[in-house]
Amino acid sequence: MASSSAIDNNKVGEPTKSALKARGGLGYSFTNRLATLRETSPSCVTTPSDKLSLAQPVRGSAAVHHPLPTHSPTGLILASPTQASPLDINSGSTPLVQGEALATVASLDAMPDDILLLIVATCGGRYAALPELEAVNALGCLCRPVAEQLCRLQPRVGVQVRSLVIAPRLASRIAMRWRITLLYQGELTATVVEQAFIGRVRAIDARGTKRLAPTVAKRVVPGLLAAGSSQFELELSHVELNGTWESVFGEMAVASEVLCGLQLCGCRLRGPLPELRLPALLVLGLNANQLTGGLGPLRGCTALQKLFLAGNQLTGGIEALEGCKNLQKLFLYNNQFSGGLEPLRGCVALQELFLAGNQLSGDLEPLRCCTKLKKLYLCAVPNDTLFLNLTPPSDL
Amino acid sequence: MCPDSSNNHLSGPLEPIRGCTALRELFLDNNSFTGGLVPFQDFTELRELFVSNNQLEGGLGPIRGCTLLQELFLGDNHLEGDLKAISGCTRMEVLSLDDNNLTGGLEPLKSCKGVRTLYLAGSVLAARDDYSLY
Repeated sequence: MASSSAIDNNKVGEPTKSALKARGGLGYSFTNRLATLRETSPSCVTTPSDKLSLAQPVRGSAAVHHPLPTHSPTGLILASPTQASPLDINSGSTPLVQGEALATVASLDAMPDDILLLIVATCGGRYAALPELEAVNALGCLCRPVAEQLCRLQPRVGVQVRSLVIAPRLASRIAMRWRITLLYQGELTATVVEQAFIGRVRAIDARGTKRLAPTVAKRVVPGLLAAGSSQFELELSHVELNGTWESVFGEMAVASEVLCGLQLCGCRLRGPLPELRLPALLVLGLNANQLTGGLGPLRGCTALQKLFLAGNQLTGGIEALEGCKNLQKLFLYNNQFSGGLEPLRGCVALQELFLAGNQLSGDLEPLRCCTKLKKLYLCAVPNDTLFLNLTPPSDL
Repeated sequence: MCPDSSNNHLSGPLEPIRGCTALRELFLDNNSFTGGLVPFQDFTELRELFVSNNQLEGGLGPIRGCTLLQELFLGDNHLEGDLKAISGCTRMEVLSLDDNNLTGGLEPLKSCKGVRTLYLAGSVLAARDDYSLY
């Protein structure tokens, strides 16, 4: 845990210096993750609701309770209701920080394990799948009981690295206290795939790196996307793949049980998609390729929250999305989809629906319950100026 | 009315999306939607509303509450009545009213100081000589 000098037991109201240093991620996805947890494991959130609640950040004594605030960022605030001033452990605003919440607990030294793990789970950054070491470390700096609790629970945390050379050194220095997973940013090499294959690297961001060696690409599916892989996120957008899925990645089944983010935007992928048996997938980005065929291969991706398929030559109806009840962003513009909107009837979480520039017909009735919509684009002909940017926002 | 089969050709009234009151950007242009603008009456968050080239009819009254509108494209419909309802849209920047049956002149737009582009072609409004407003 953090050195004991940084921990001032019982004085929760005064942020320690190292706690204040924590930046870049505590706030990210706090609300999203909590919303997800709330849906997937309601007991986890409802049982201790008297202890943990989301509220608007109030710098003062009273907390105004409000479920899942979604607006502008500053961070996660941990506060004790008895304290006059909440302890803001993430006042530094970064582009990564997206949520803002106040977790009110009766007392920091009496947090149930599941609540602490819930808070830990929200300490994500660029990668929503894993809490980041820096942010979790900051939690440990709140007070000694939290530090000790973290030490006991040993949550798995991610560390962003740009090179695997420093990884062993980094790991040996901190592995005593943390279960480390590497979040790699850089070119996708055989070594990286190898490390991912054995579970040391669980997120790879190779966005915009030039070409992918064909021999490496062929190992992507077996190593990262097949059943049994421990990879959480793979981002290869704007890496020139130039071919059909099979010619680039081989024929092995895409069937990871844990993959939650896959981004292959602008990769010059042609032809049909293989069947994607990815039940944990939350984000799929395939904008601006030359994909053909229908959405059938996505039928098993029922956890999807964000689906980006704009700017391809996909055809057929959207029935395959019927089971995707958690969709928040659906970008299908500039394709050749036909049929009606009926399959979207149950997608009540939709906030952004971009279907412009297809061949859709029918009426708006299926959207009646989509009352969270903020952006609805159904125009017949795509307005080029609106759709120049086919890359989804970098915030997964 | 006869839609090109290579484009979206959605139809029916706007009523089903009446409850989508969080909408900020709504693009429904170049379809075959019918009926009036009444379903938009609680869309108080709207910034951009594009419904050009549909079969919409009735007056602009229902969008009176959409005071945050910055871009409003109503062209090529069968809308009628005057512009009083949009006099409160003080943030308006681009306004397209062409090819409708709107009447009553441009006087109500005096409060929309930020308008930089105004499309009026084919509208009864355009026949009036009060362009001098701009």
